[in-house]
Amino acid sequence: MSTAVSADRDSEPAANAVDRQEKPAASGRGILGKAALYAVLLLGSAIMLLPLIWMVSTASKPIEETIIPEFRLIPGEFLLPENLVKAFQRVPMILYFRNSVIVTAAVTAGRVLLCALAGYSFAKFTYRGRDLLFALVLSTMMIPFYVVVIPLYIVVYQLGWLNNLIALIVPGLVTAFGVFLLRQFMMGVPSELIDAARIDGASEPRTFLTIVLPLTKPALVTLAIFTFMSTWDDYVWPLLVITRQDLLTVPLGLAAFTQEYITYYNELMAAALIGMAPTFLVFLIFQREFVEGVSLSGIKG
Amino acid sequence: MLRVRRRSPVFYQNVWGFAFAVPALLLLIVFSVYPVLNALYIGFTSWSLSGTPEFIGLDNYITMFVRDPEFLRSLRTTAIYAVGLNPIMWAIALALALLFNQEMRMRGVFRTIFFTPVVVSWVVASMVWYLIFHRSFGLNAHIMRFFGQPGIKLLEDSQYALLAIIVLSLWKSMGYYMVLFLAGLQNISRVFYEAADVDGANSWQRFWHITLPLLMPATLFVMVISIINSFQVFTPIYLLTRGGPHGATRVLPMLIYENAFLFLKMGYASAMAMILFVILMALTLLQLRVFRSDVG
Repeated sequence: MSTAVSADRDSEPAANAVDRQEKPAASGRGILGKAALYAVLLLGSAIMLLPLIWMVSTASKPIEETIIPEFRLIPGEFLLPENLVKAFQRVPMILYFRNSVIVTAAVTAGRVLLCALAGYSFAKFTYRGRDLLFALVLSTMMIPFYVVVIPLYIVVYQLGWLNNLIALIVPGLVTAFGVFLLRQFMMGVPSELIDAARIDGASEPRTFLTIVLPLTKPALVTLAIFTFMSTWDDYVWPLLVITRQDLLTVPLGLAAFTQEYITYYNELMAAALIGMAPTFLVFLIFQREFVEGVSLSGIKG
Repeated sequence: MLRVRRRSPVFYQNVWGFAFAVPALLLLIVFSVYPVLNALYIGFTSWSLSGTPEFIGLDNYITMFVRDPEFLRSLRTTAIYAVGLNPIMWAIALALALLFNQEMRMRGVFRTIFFTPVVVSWVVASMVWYLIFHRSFGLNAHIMRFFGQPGIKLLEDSQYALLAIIVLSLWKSMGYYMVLFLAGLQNISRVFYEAADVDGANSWQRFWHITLPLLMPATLFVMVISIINSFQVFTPIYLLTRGGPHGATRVLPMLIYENAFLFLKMGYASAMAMILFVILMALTLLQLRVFRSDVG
């Protein structure tokens, strides 16, 4: 499947075709039209980036400067490091990071492994009831979160998991979409390779680990990136099951910070910058995989 | 599997195969299948989380439509949010996708810029836009001062609050649908355009007779997903307005949250969640039907 970002690399032959097509239109539109187009794009980009620029600017200002009447994008003094230190002293950001790292790492590793196992099972084995079970998995794919949130809360409550990080981990270990995505990719693994491993005497788990997983690495990476980002950013579910201060995740901590110290705009924005840094870094590093993932999915970004 | 006979190696392979699916299946049953069925049941009960649920038949559903004006009001608020947000978002996303599907200078840079807000979490996006909307120090105040006016009460005035949430959502989500449209555009084979060139079609004809019809699957997907998502908006509203002022932004997920987790009316909230489910299913089926018949 050709997708948004990979097109940059894949479209060399196609690029000529585009040139040929667009030439009459482009010369007809003329240089003025092109200038107008870029002007609109620049304005649009400014609107898209302004909130983030405003965020960095506020995070770097001294507190008095955040409430002055005049518009000042460039801070008089650059105090981002100082504001960060103050934010980390005001609320236990390090604790929030620790909790988020534990939850996100566990969910990401667990989800990739369990979805890969189930995807492999549905793609490459035959047993009675397989198709029925796969249909059951698919049927849960389109269920909106708010339909299950109350009974899910009750399950977690009855298990005694409220105010326990386990409540953020276990329900997220498998998603129907993850199983579906990896099954589609596992179907593409040649069965001959799997059989060859068996003939060489490899056990079934070993075949899975040494043959199947390496061959489906791109799909595993895509699922891992998505899981990482959505788990790190998750707010609603943690809001319901975690109330203890020392168990807050980064989004919960940021929201709590906002509610308690709303007037410390500079520290708030500095904390928010650090809070979004992990997902932003992952996005920058894996931009191509991420955008590909978006286009072959429907999961929220 | 219970038949008694000599097992072939293939049989044991498939036992392993089944075992591979078991952990995922168990988790999905406990945390997805069972909750859905349970939600249906709880919707017919009155339950405050302590004690046992008391079966009350259709009472919750009757209350919702007859006795509680808040429910219908929040349905309307959610619908206004969806209608206010989606068509304009589709239009901008499609326009940008068409643009970025062509060869142009700086394409990659612009595309990344328009996609960036998708990577910002709802919590951080809400915090940033709180600053922008702030009527004394925010961008709101600075822009209005330019016109010699005081800042507008965006989040504090029931006239503007929902609009402010729509603007935030548009900024945050637009890039996501742009990428979905782009993927759809790139799946259209060049062959069709070459044929159109041979026939001497102009660019408007190419768009109208090739791009739009062949983009239909992607368009449909964008419409279904974006409407489902907009009926589930919660975080920016919870953080910025708590459903206020005077209930002006109390969308359905907010009302469900209040009833379930503030008033502990688990039965009533579950019944509302079921209605949300039915609405989303109905909207999805309706869109599939309308656009399928359009194409076929």
